Amino acid sequence: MRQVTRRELLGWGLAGGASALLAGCATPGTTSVNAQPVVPAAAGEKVTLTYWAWLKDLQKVADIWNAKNPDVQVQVSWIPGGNDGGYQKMYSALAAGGGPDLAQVEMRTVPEFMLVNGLVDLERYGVSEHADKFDETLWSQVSFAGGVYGIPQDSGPVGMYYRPDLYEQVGADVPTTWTEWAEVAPAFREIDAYIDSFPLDDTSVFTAHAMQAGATWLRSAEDGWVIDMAGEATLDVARFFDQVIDDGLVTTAANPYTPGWYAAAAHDQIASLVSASWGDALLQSVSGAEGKWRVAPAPRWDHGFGSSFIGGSTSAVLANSRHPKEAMEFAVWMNTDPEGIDAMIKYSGIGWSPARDYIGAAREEPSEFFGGQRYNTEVFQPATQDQNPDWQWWPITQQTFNILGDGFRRKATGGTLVDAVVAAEDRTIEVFRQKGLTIRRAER
Amino acid sequence: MTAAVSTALQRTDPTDVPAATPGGRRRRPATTILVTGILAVVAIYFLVPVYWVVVAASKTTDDLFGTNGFWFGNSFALFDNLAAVLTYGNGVFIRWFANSVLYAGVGGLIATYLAAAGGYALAKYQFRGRNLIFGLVLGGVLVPGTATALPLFLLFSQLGLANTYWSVLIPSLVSPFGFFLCRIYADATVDTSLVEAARIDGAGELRIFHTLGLRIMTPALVTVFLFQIVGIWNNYFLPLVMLSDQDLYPITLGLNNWNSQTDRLPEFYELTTGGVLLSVIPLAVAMIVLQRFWRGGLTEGAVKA
Repeated sequence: MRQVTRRELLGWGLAGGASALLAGCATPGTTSVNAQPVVPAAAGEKVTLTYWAWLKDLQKVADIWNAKNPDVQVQVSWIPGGNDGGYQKMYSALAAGGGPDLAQVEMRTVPEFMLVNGLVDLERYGVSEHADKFDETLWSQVSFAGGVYGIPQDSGPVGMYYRPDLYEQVGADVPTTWTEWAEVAPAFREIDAYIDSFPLDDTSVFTAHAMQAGATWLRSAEDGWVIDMAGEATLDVARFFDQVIDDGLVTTAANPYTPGWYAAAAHDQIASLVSASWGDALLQSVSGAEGKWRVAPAPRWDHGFGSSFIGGSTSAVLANSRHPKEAMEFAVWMNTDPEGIDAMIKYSGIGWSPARDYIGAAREEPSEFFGGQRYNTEVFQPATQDQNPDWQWWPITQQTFNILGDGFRRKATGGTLVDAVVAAEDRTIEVFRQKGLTIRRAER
Repeated sequence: MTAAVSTALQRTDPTDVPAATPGGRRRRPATTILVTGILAVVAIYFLVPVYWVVVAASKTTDDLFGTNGFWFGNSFALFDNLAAVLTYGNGVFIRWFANSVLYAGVGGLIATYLAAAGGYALAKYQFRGRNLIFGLVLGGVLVPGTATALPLFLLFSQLGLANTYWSVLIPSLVSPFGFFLCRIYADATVDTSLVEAARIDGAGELRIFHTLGLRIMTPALVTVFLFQIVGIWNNYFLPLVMLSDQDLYPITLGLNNWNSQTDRLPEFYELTTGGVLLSVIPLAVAMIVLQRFWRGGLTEGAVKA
């Protein structure tokens, strides 16, 4: 790959620049910390790192590290969730020239933080020697233009939760492709149930379907961002669900894990649910669900991959850290060392671990709730091996989701998902250009 | 509450005492029924969320999503939930609660005192630029607290006060609205001749303010105090940017941390609803206890016109 100049990086917003893109948050005139000299490792002195995260009881995980590393102590601050003000708090602290050494930043938000020069490029601190400890797909989601901007912390590979009793009742096999899925779906309408729900206002589920189908909505190329939201793979998925919704095969009234959905699931009205691995804990709050559910691989499209990821966050080193090297080493330990992973599962209820070789001792056990099934090793672990490797997040991910969600809601009044996707691509291009970022449509 | 304020103001306005015309203000039954009806609807509108919180706090997470939201579930887990709220994380909720009481109580008291002093001074003393000051403060009423939180954070960071009790307390000590209300109220109720009478009796200005001014202004002060308490108690953004040590958090931040967990750990629904229930109690108590001070006309007849 050709060496990318700093000027080009600026144009894509990957290295950020003088523009105060988040009004009132970025300090005008800040320069990228990644253009400044590397901060040397602390020599012999005692270092205290701070970590802002919304995972509960993360201090207990850090304490394990602290006991072994007397010279690098980690202090965790428990802050509100990213979109509940956590990010706002980080932006404020960055603008004031302070902030913690490490912060929990969702995968999809990493590029947004890069845009305001908020993150340290860990490549400059030798993170590449740890790359082989992490899931490849997740690693590529934190890598941009030769830099690495966060340590993957958790994620959620997608599978299908289903009710064997309801499938038996309608005499259907568990579908392995979306075509089969659409074929068995009508049978559930006869017993007053739905095969699944389709959330019109939470587009992360649709995004995961498109990701699975092989779409890559945005990627950073050598001449800027390339958008391919309305490519054939995505439109296929959109057409499929347009048809499914028109035929009344899914409910759009209750998003998964909302009160209405829990009520429907408790009344045997939901036969299956294509969702991420972290849905396991949430299913357990369905009234009387114990032992009724099992997990199968997600249905496949006739192109693309076996699974996708929904959600996921990183431990990112924030720009004003005075000890980026030590912060990175702690983050690598916490997210890949078996001791760190087991502690994060036990104390913080973390999602799927991004480590390549270890999913956590508790997750290898058979699950009582899922009728003794070893669903993590049977379904979700293989799912992480069958992922779209090209997927990347972009600097306005949340905004694109909102735009797409606005379009999806028109489905209720006669719009189509296909139209919404096409319009969202146009609108995303506009927003990129308004922010001064270079973007072009993929050739197709 | 604004209605209550304006009633209090009207009733104490000496030029507009309706008691002079007995029988002239009798309402027709239809009007009474209509007004009562509207008030009843408004009351229901405000009470339903509180009722929902009480019901939700009595449920397990299973029941919260599995049973009717407006009636009690299969199990009555209120006390289990409250016990969980109070004991979770070594009783961190009690700490948050105490912090909120500190921020709202101390902030409310001092803000009220400052507003009273400022409003009284502007109303009762003639000096150059007093209208300019009043105009400036009035402008302050229009600036929402959220807009000042970020600049304040940058300022406090430079002073090294961010992430301390002071960083939330100091901005809570001023209330432009309270100042505005106190000035108008002092203008209308603290009779200049009463102040002059006190001066003739040899009282100093501070003493007059403390013994006469504050007492006469009590209804307005209670209003300011309540507004300020509610404002600080419910404030989210300022403590959010200022604080990063969970031991300094007020309830609003702490509850949001709990609510953030529900994405992955649904048992936090029980903690959150239980915590919300406990967190509304102090405000309800403050309202009920303090509303009896909303009495006007304390000094009617104190001096002869």
